Amino acid sequence: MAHIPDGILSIPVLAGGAVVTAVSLGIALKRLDEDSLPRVAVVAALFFVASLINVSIGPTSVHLLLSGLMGLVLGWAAVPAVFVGLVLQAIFFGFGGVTTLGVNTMNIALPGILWAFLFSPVIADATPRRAAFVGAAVAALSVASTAVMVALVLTLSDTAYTISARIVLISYGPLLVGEAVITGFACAFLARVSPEMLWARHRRGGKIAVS
Amino acid sequence: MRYPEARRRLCHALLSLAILAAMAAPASAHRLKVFASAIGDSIEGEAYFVGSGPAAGVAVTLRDDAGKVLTSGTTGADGRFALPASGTGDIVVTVDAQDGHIARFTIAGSGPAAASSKPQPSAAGAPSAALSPAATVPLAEIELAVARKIAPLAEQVDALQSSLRLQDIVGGVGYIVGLFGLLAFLKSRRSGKGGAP
Repeated sequence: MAHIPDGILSIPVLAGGAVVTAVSLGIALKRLDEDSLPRVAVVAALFFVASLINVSIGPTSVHLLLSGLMGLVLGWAAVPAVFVGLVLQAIFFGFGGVTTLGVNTMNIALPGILWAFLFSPVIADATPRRAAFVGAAVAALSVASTAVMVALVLTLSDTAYTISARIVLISYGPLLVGEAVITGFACAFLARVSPEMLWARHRRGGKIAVS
Repeated sequence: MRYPEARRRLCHALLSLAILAAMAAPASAHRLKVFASAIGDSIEGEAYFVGSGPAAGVAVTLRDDAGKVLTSGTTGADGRFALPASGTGDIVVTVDAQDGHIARFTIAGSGPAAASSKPQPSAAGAPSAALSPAATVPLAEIELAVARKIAPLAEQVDALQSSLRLQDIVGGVGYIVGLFGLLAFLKSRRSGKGGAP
């Protein structure tokens, strides 16, 4: 799953992940404006708490990532939100390693941002019903991309390491559905209550409008 | 006008987070862990996900300190396993859920050899028998029995150390609020210096 512990990945992969995360953190912090900080904080806290709740499925256990929702609501600011959440989880609970922070942040945050960006024209001015479907699609694609990236990172580190496709499928399958449902409801709610949260950012050159 | 509104919304969000955190406390978390101990000539232990119960049907591998595979098997439905092991060095127990969850546990000292090889010199020499003439139970048996009794206790201590606590979760949320508050403060100071309203 997304919290890869220390001592599994190879040095080049760790360094690559760290560089990608550092660069995207730089971009995100530069774009971050004061008015959006409370929102980023709340979403970061939501991610921190939500990804602690765990359900066991067969031989493994899964937790929510909310990466699609974070990408839609925060855009680039999802990177610091995920990073802070992961740092605290690593320090407090030992979930995910300290050396793997870069790789883990990259795997969780970037797919959400990418898919939210690609779908932003569709979700702009969407009715709650359409927002729900678009949100669900973004969430499902983000989770699937994270699964692919985790598998890629593990295989790149050690070609002998075998990812069991069956286990990945049975653990990520239900997660994908769960995330899609939750993000769908969240997007429908946001589209009804404060639609600018879902799309204003994309119109105003990266700035989040404050209502 | 807009600030009280934003603050009220923030309060609501934090409140619902706190409720979520409180619900999350009993069953939660995400980390594969393994605990094992040497009992006689076998390595017995349990693999579990912190907070969400046993890891069933997960591959277990025993390696010596050189990395050579000694034995391998899988955990049962309750996450427990017992594998035969012989050797004198450290034994590294690795459990692998094959989706990126891996946990290792090193049984320090001489592993199972502690139970089987240490008594041998004393059994060969007279002193141990002379010291306890009344005891008819061999030392190896006693060590085995003690190891069996202690194992679950050590396991509990280990599990307790890595359990998820409500105060840690709430503390984490506090850290996040504080961190972003600090960031907001720094940003507002900078923009204040720049002459912006």
